[in-house]
Amino acid sequence: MADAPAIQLEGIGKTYGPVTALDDVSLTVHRGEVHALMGENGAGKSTLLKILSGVVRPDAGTLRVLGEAVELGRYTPGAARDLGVAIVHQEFSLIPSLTVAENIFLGQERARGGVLREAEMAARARELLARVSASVAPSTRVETLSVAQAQLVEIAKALASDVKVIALDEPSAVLSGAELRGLFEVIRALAADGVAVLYVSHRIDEVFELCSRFSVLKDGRNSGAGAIEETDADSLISLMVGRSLSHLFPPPGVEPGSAVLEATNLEVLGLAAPVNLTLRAGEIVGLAGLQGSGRTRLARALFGDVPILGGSLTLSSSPLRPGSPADAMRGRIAYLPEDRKGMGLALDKPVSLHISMLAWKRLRSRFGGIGRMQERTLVDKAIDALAIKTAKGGAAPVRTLSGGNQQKVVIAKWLELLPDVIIFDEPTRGIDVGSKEQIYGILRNLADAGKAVLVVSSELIEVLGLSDRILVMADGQIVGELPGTGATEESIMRLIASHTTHGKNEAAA
Amino acid sequence: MTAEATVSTRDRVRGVANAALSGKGIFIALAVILIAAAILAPNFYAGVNVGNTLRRASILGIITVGQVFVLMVRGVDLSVAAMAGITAIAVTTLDSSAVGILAALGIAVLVGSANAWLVVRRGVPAFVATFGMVLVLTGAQLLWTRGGVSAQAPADLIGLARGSLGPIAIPVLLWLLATAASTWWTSRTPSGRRLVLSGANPRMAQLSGIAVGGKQWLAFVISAVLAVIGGALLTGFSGYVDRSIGSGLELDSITAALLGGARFKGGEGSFVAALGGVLVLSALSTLVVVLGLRPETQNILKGVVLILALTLHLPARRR
Repeated sequence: MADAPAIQLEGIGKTYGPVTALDDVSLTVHRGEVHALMGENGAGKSTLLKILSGVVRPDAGTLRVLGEAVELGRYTPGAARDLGVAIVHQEFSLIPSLTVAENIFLGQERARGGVLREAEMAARARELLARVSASVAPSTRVETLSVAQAQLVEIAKALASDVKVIALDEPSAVLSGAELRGLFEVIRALAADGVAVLYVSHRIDEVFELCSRFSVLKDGRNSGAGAIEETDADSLISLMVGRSLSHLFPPPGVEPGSAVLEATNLEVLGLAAPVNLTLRAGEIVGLAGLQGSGRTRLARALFGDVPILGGSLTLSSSPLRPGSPADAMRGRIAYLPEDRKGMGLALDKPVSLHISMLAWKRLRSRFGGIGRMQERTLVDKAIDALAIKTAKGGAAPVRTLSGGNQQKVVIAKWLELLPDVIIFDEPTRGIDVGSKEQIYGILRNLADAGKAVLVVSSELIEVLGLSDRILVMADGQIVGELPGTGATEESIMRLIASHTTHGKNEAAA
Repeated sequence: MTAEATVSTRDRVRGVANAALSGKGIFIALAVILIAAAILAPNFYAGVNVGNTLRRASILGIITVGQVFVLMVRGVDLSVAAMAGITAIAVTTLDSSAVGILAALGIAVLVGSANAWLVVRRGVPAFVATFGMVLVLTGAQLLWTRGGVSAQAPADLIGLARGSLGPIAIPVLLWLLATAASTWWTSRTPSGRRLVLSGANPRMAQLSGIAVGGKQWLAFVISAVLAVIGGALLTGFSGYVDRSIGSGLELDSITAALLGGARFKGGEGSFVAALGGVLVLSALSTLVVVLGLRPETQNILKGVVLILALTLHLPARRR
């Protein structure tokens, strides 16, 4: 049975009440291949992973592991581990206060007579860590690790049992370029050892770099599968959404106008060098760079959330030194944070409260309170204008909306500030391709309406497609500027590489 | 599959229980208790009983309003009972009730500010900070009275706490006013809504230009100030002051606030539902007395309700 696929799922179906999560889905992953599992959010990727890890039991279908039929009724997480199927989830399952070795052997500690055999475990941990090229000692506490190191430890933990199949759920979401390269090396080495790797992602570029075959899910069904070398980005996106890449980004409608926000030798706490930048009305400027390059720090400094130490910042030619977000907001600067759920929304509060919050002062009724009718009108107008999928009135808690619609709520909220400058930090993180297209349209409309737009993004396709001008950051400084047309992923990566010294880019947050 | 079925049944039961014991659903629980009382103890509805229960309830109710504010900004205020106790001492030892209340209000602003400073600036958990304040205040109370706390309540406070304005008892009126004003403020005004958002997600609030620390400070000060009003009414209602005056109000107010949908995670809570929570607790206490049960039963009952309220408010475990 050497040639049997490592994993063969066939005819998998799963419904949650009236919702069909998976319908007749098949997936085959061979030994030694890196297989991309792609799809929009809600396409069924995570349900499929949960079935594979034994957490969720499908209603229909069969599973074969290395050719052997597995009875799905008895397929539990424990059974999955015994069969050599390991899943590395997006949210880390490591316990921060324990050491690396303790985490790796959690639940399968080696002991003799009730006493842990620490030396043996440390030695074995060292082996496993070496296999994933993690330069951490087994005795290190997990809480002191960087995200990239934690991810590697997570993989090492999966390898602790004899693993035949390993599934990685969107590992790139938390890693920067250099860290990702390291992870790719580890994955390739695992595949070379004959492990079947299932790589869940919706990032087109890395799938092309890493994977040999792909399977795409759309609305809980198989929408395509094949060899990576026989496809291209456009057709993958079409499989995921039914639209092609060139339609994703609308062209600019206006010429850039006058400078709105200008930074001259701006010294920002935590950045390596003073920053010079100009944001013009009607223009989208992309801020590219790896995680930790200082992109977010710079954006937050412009919004008064990171201290400015020196240099000058002018807003429409008058000096500005925002000491707090409130200051920046008085200057009509808006900032939409990258961590939407943690920093941009109060998830249990209704949509309406978010949309109207920056307009409350304008909505005074005769009695001094916020006028119900005025508020309702404003909220409904915003729901219409941005095509937010939620009931009129916006009484639903934001939690119940999809990621894309949540982001639209955040956008609607900030538009009520009537901003001149809008800074988007990872505007489409965790958002499916269909909603991305709408968000891109909204961004372009804002620029066309004369606002200065700054887009911070780690997705190069997004920066390239969206920006009229691209600023590239590395190691806490701006290392170059590229025109929007003509720039390529390579030209950005070259700029970054020429300034990045290895291992140093973890310092700035 | 049977396992899944039982889980969902349990979830449903839990959901119903949760709905009845939190938020506006608390009024269903209240109705059940009131009906049960009518059957078990007809003299529960004697005029004196109802009047006294409501007056007593309004003292707890006013303090609970403050507790809801503090819970809204992710805090908790254990010092409300001690603050009420200090007020009782102030109004009985100083020249007049007015001077006493003014002095107590001054102390309340200090106490609220100190609580807020510890929590906001120093990052001390509210449980610890306000518990420390309890020790400070009870210690100060003993120093102030040289250990011998015992006094008659001033006549004007007795008149206030036992008086009525038309058909409505004055404490009840104050309670309704505090509830209505707080509800309106937090739901219909920018500053009140910002306080709610400061608790719902502090970082989001801060990035939206809200002075989160200021809102937390306000909540703790409101709580201390309402504890003064509650303490003054309690003094008048009791007619005398001893060492134990006000004790238990901190836990009762937290229980009532939780029954009213407030949560330790902040940003939640309804003043109207908290009013229902207070009525539930008060009705239970009165019921115990009317039924002639031993007073210790009251504590057991309260404890059960508090634990129930707490467990129901923990987020349901994800499968």
